Amino acid sequence: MMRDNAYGAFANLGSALAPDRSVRLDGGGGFFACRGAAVSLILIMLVLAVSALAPLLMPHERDAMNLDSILAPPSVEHVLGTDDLGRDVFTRLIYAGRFSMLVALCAVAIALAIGVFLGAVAGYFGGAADAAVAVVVDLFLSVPVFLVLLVAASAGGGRIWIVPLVIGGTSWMETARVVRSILIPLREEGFVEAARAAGAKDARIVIRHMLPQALPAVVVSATVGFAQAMLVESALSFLGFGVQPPVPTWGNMLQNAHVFIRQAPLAAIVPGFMIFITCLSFNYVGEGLRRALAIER
Amino acid sequence: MKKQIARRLARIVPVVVLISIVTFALLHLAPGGPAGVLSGSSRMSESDLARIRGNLGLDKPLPVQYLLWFKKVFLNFDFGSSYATGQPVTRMILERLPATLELMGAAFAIALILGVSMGVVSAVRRDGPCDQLFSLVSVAGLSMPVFWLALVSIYVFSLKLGVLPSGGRETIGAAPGLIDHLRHLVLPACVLSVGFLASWSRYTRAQLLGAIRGDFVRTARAKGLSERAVIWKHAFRNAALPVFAVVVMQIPALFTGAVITETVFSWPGMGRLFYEGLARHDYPRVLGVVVISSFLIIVFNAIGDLLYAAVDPRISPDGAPAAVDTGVEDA
Repeated sequence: MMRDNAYGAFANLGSALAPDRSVRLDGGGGFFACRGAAVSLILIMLVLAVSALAPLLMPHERDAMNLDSILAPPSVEHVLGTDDLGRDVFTRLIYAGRFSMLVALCAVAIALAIGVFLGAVAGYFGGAADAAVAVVVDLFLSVPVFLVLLVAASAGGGRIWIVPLVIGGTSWMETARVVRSILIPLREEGFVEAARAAGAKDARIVIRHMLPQALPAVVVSATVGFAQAMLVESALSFLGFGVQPPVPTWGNMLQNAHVFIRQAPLAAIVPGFMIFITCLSFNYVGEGLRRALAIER
Repeated sequence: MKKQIARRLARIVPVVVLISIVTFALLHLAPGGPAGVLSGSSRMSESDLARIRGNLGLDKPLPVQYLLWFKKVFLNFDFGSSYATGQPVTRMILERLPATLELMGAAFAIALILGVSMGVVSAVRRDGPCDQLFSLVSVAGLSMPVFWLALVSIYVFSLKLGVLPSGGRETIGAAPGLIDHLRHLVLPACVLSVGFLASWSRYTRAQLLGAIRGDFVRTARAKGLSERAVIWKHAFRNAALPVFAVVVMQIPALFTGAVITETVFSWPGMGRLFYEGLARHDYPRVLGVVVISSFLIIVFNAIGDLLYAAVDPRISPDGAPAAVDTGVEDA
C-alpha cells in the first residue's frame, strides 16, 4: 500500500498528524501513508508481543513480595525498582499489559455487540424503534455515566469480569450512532429491495446485506473504543473499584502511587506512560484506518 | 419558546428519578448491601445489628425503602444522614459544591479559550507547523489518563520544581488569600482541562475548515473583505454553533474528570466526597452525590440546548437540528 511516488507520501505527512482531517487530500493514501499509524502499529505489536511472552521475560515472580526491599530504587536486579510491597515493578508492568488489554478487549466486544445491535435496529426499522433507541442513547449521553459505572463496579465487589461488563455497557453509544447512520440510507437501496423481494427475513437482510457496509466504520470505532475502554479501566482500577490487586493492571499499579511518588517516582510514572503510549497508538491506528478506509466522520 | 422550555424541563425529572433508581438498586446489589457492610465491619451482636437496621430503615422491602428515601428528598430536599459521620448528606454536598464548581469552571474556561484558539489557528494555518503541533497535542491529550497526568504534574511542579502546592484548596494555617487560592487551583484545573481542550480544538478545527469551504465564505472573499473579517465575521460565526453544542454535550465528562482530579489533588469537592463515600460504603452520600450531580448536568445540558435553539433559528423546537443545508453539514 505504500506509495512510492514522493507526492503521495509527503502529501499525507501533515495529515498523519491531523486526526480530524475532514477532507481527504487528492494524494489519497492508504494506511501506511500515515506515518503515525505505521509507527503506532509497530508499537502495539511490540506491547502485545511482550505481554504475550510475559512468563518468559519476567525476571521475578509476579506477586512475590519482599518486605526487605520496599520502594527500592532501580537496580540491576529490579530494573524499575520495587513497589510499596517490595514487588518487582518491571515484572508487574509486563503482566499488567495482559490484563489491561484483555479487559479493554472484552469491554470493546461488549460495547460493539450492544452498539451494532441497537444501531441496526434503529437504522433498519426506523420509526418507533429508532425513536426508542434515540431516547436510550440520549439518556446515556446526558448523565454522569462514570459515577454510575463506579457504583456498579464497586457493587461488583472486585470480581474481574464485572469490569469489562460495566465499561462495555456504558460505551456503546458511538457505535450505535455510526451503524444507524450508515444503515438508514441503505434501506432505500436496490439490493435491499431485491433481497426483500427474494423473501429474505429482516435479520438476514441486515446481517448479510447491510451490516457488511458498516464494517469499516465499526472497525474504526472499535479501535478508538479500545483506547477509551483502556482509559476507563485504568481510572476505575486507579480509584480501587476496577481490577483488584494482586492481579496487576497499569491502572491499579498506580493506586498508591501518589502516596509514594516522593520515594519511588519511577513506579508512579511508568505504568501510566504505558497506558498513554498504548492509547495513543490505538488512536493513531484508528485514524490511519479511518483514512485508509475512507470513512467520513 | 415557553413551550420548548417547559417541555425540556419536564424531561429532567424522569431522568433524575431513573438515575436514582438505578443507583439505589446497584448499591443494594452489592454483596450484603448497606446492612452487609455494617455487619461485616464490626463485631456487633445480632440484636444490635437488627436495631441499627431498624433505625436506618434497612429492614423494610427495597421498593419501600426507595419510596421513603424519595419522599424525603422530594418533600424536604433531605438525602438522609451519612453512615460514616452522621452529618446530613444535603449539607455535606452543599458545602462541597462551591469547590467543585470552582474547579470545573476554571477547567472549562481554560479548555474553551485555549481549545478554540488552537482550533482556529490550526484551521487558518492548515498543515502549518502550528497545525501539526496542535494536532499532536490534542491526540496526546485524548490518550492520556487524567490521574497519570495529575501524578506527573505533581511530581514535576511540586516535588521537583517546588513552585506549586501538591494538593488541597488552600494552605492550612495560612491566612486565606486570593493568590494562595489560585496557586492551589492551577494544577488541578489545568489537568482537568486537558482532555476537553484536546477534543474542542479538534472539533473547532474541523468545523471551521468546513465553514471556510462554504459558499458564503467564497462570497465574502469575492466582495473583497479582508481575510480577518472573512474568518471571524463569517466562517467562525458559523463554526461556533456546532462547537458550542459539543461543549455542552461534554459537561457530564467534566464531572467524571472532577472525581479523579479531586481525588488525586485532595480537592475538597463533590467528586472526592463521592469517591470517599463509595470507598467507605457510605451509601446515602453516594446516592446524594449521584442524584445532585445528575440533576445539575441535565439542567446545564437543557440550558445549553435552549440557548442553542435561541441563537440558531434553524434548530427545531426539539433541540434537533432542522434539515436545512447549513453549508457546514457537508464538511
